[in-house]
Amino acid sequence: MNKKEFYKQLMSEYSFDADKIRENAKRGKSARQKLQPIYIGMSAAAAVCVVTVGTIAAVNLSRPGGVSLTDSGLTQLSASDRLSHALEQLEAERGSSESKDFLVTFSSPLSPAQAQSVLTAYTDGSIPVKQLYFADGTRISGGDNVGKIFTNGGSYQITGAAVYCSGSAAAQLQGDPAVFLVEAMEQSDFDNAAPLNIDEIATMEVTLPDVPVVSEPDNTVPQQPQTGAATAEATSEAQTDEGSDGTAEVISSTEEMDGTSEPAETEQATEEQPDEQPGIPVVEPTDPADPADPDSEQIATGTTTEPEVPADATGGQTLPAGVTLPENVSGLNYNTYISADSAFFLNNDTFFVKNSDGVSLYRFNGDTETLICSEYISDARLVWAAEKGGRLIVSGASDYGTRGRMLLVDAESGCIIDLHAEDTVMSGTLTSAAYNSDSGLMAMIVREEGRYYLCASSVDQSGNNDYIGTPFDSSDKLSIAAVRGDIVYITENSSGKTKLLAVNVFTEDVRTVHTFDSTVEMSRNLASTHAVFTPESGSAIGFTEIFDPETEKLIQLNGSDSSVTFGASRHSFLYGGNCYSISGGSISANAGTSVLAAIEYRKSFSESYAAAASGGTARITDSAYTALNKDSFLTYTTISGNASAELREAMNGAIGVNNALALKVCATSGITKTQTLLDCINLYYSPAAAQKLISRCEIDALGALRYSSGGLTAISADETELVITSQNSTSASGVLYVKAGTFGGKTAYRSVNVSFLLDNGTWKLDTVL
Amino acid sequence: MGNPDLDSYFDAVYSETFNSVSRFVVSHAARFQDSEDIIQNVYTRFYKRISEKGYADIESAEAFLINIAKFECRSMFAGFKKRRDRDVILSEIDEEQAAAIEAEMSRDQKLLEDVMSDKILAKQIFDDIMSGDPTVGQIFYLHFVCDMKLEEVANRLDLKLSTVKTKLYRTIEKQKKKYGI
Repeated sequence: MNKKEFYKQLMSEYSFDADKIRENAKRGKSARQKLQPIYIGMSAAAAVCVVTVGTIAAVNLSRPGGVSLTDSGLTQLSASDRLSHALEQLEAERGSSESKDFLVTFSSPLSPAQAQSVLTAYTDGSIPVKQLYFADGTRISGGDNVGKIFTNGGSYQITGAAVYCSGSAAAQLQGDPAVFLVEAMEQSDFDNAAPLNIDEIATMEVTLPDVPVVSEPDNTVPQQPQTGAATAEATSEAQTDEGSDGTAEVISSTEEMDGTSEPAETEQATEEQPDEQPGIPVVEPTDPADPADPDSEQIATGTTTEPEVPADATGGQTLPAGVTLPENVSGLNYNTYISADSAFFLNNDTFFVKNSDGVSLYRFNGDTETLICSEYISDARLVWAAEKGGRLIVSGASDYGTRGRMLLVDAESGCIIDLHAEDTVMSGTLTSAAYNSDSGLMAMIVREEGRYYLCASSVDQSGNNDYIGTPFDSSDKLSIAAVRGDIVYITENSSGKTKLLAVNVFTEDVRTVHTFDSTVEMSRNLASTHAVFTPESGSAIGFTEIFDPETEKLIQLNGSDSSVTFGASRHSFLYGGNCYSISGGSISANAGTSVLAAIEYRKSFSESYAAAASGGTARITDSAYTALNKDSFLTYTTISGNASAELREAMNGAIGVNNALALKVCATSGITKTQTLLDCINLYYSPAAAQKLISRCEIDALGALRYSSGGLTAISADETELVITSQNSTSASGVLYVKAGTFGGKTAYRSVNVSFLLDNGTWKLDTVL
Repeated sequence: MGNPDLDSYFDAVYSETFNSVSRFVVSHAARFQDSEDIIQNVYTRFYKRISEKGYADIESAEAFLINIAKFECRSMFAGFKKRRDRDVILSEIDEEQAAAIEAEMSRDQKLLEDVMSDKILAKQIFDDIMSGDPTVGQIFYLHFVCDMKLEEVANRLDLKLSTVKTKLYRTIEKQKKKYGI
């Protein structure tokens, strides 16, 4: 054998116990709870010498076959069996230099100094201590916590210790009068077992040592409960050393997860008070469509309110008998009765619903909805939404009971894809997640056992999630600020300051981009392209700043408003009631409706419908972000009409005719014959405009009542303002402002140029709306 | 333990992947001494996962395990970052010395078989390797067990080749003096 072969064999045999690992894995045994020891004493030398078992050597092992320590560890054994088992183990281990975990039970509680003296007496002054047990039943673990006990001293009454030492050292410890018992520990014993209660052992089995446990009277610690302060301190220490079950972990606020830019209250208000004007009663059509015209009025999308243009109210002229024109129309207001705490359309006809059971996609055809797919996920929160809709990502609780699952909801393909994030998060807790659609990079902050880890993966269009790595971690709180290319920008709160760091997920290079002098609050837009920093609540210092990853600049916002809303937009936001866009490290005003659409993504991904949670169910209304509105020049100033009553009356009548055609509700408006329809048109429209309308709506003047909507749009007269800009004795002209909806919190009007002609003493509209 | 199919699948995966998983973990753990715990956790998580969700969707068990290992290395001991910080500067061993040690390592020694059969002594020699610089154990494992060339070890551990050589050969020289091997 040469030396290369020697080292190969040596390392192969002694590095890992492959059989033990395999069997432990099957039993679900994790080394996660293995505690990092604190070495007390000076050096880490291991004593290798044979000693005799002294203190309780006289114990009669009453079980010839010995005691089998089950996989469940010491807790499954009685006190007497633990004693017998321990002695068997020590006999077997007495010559062993292999180090193991041992639970040392002191004969009586010791002070930290006494415990240290006893534990280090046989190990060249050094021994790893993983856990300490106190007389009040508490325990502390972890190197730092244990170290503090020994370093700081105090009035602790230590009843036992979990140490890592060789079998021979353990046997020596067993010989110390201050030590009652040394037992080999299983991993589970760190959580479950405690020092042996001597009182539980039958005295006939044990010969207690004759010598006093602690010989120096000054060092004798009275066996009484710890003081409140000490107990609290010990308990506190124990609690800060978190277990691995995640119960001590705090799930981050919803802010980051659903795009902090939209405060929860605002979102709630938006959802509770959708634009569908719930106060307007829905009047179902009472008259059937013309039986002679089966095609007519079969595709009505809205219902009308009570007619408001009585036949005799047209200034001298009268509507045909029985006709009541739909001057005002109520939009779609459909209650799906689908349980929802959040709902919105992802594309033109597919809406997303989130409730306590999970997330679902439904398709809406104008009348009814159809479930496309659904997936159970509890406590779902929005992580990302595509700027133009169609897709989003939610996070929720995983099988591990913590936030760790992520789903890609794709309305275009009508499916929900599990991104298998829990295979990365596992028993940790996902406290922050972000996805950048440009680079396909998904970043997650996972909190596990008090430490924060930045994990990165690549998610392609199909939802395949390839883990890249864990390029950064910290014991301080980390949050994702933005993602750009291969860089994840994170904040790290430490020592009253917030640091903004840039982490390259592939090279693991870390740079400090900026350090805030105090802790600041950070939020991130859904697209993960910008972060907003605001002074901490109550702080009078500082400004609201937006971080621009492209230039790595912080853009200071003027004004006192701290609410910045990006929605799903990548570079545009609402601030102080105005819309701005970020480009090249600076901001500029931008008020395009398409820009607002991305910000108000919950209302805008469909040009036909809008969905919102209202009263616990999903309700569908008309979308304000129609193609017409998006293509129109919208006016946001307050409009006051100035038209005379006569002009206004003519306008309302024309609107009524327009609506009857647009909604194809002539029959229900009392217009059952072609001539009646023509009479209505001619009553409110000039001859030229009437001819245009007849042609546009394909009205056959000589045949049965047939017509098309002609691409007309229904208008509610109540939601219009008529502003006349010029008028003489025979004509007038001006602008009809039609309320288009609320955009960015402001009411907007679409404008239509209109003109009127005086015909036989009556004003008639000379424009097709 | 329960499902025989599950266990047989796990056993097969375990035997197929142990070398690659252990190689990855040893390469990325902060300390060699942590590696066994990490490997334990990797396989425990894997077994838990396939117990709860099956394994039909796992295309490559090795890739799946490596993914878990990546997280475990970070999760337990924050190894990636620390490793860079501990590239201790040693007085480098020169090429002539290295060549001499390499030549000696290839020479058969009957003594080594005797040492290997003495379990206590062998364990002491192993513990001696592990007791000092934490990267030494990694270098020994990757070079001797995983048959990685020293250049590969250096790249994997993000260390200079000269540092790897120095740590390896100095340890071998130290053991020669200490144990007579």
